[in-house]
Amino acid sequence: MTAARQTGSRTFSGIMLVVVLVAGYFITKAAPNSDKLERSFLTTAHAGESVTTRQFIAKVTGVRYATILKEGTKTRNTDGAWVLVKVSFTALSKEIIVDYGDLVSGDGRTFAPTDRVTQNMLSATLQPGIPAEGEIVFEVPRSSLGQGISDRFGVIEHILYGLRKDAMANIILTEQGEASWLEPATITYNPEVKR
Amino acid sequence: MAAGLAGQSMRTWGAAAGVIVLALSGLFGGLDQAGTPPAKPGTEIVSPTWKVTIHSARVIASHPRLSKTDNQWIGITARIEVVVDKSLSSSLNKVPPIGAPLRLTGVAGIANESKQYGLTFAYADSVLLKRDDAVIRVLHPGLPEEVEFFWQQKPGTAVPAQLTVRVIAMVWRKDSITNYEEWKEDDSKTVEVVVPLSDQRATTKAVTS
Repeated sequence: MTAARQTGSRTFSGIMLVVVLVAGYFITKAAPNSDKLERSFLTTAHAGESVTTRQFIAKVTGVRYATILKEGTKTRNTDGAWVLVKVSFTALSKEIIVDYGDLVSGDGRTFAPTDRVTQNMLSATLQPGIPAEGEIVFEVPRSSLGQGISDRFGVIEHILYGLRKDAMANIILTEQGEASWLEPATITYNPEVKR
Repeated sequence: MAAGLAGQSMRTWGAAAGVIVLALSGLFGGLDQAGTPPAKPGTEIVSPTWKVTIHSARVIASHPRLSKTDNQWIGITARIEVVVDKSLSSSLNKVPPIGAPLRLTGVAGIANESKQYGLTFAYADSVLLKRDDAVIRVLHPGLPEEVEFFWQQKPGTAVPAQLTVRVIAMVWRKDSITNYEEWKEDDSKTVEVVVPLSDQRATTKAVTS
């Protein structure tokens, strides 16, 4: 091979190497990452309907709103709104705790249950076939009401690199555009879980 | 031209690569001057995860809502607004914990200190909501709150005239080991706030019957 051909061959190899590296970068960018591959499966229904997941059945039986919440002798106010979701869980085949329950609003926000009141529903041990009912309380900005809100429930599993949620129930509480509650209201909250 | 490039020595190629890398790093702030002056109390510090305004700092002997201990407490009052779209709570939703926004450094006698990259720091022991003095572990997006972060300090430790508080910034990126995306601390955007420290130990002693 002549010197000129050798030079041309090396340059071509160098260019192809760069092309492959760049292509590989864009391919890894476009491929779904581990979080997307391992995300939970959602089963969706509306309030009043039963949702059956892999480990439990969930049903939202009521939603209340307040600006002031009373629990025993404690009074809790907020600059946003209190949302109380009454839900029933029934374990299917084994003892579980439905320990995940976030509120998702149509404006893209996810709210964890408030820790300003006692929350027993998300720590209650459920025996298979025996329904348990109670309320879960959230504190949300008023701007998130009227955007459509849904509640997601699941069982948390501990894996090597952290926590993961098993298959989840996604229950739609209000649709976007539904009239959001406006009047101030005081509600008494009872954290008891009824079986 | 190809012949000219291929005819260059390895030293020349290495030097050219170094210049290109330097130029690229400059595009992403690599040539920026390190270190910014500390901010003053009352300054709103904005980061991708939260907006923080530090108001004041104090040392107290006890507080009825905090755990019973012989240690004294350093409290920093701040207004926090969660900017990220999830509640600051546990790691389940890949969100930093509630104690993540503020870090104390260079304070003697702090309990539960950790070391990272040669820097000693401590997460807050407890966070109180100022509106009702409730101990909280969760802050929600779109609901700014006045809170007080508390750190335990060995009893009788001398109280400095001021504190340097680090307001932590975080960036969403992939963990190079686990390959999962999560919030990671971004040291380049951390802001320090120097706040006067008020000694209120004499007026906050626990009442013993």
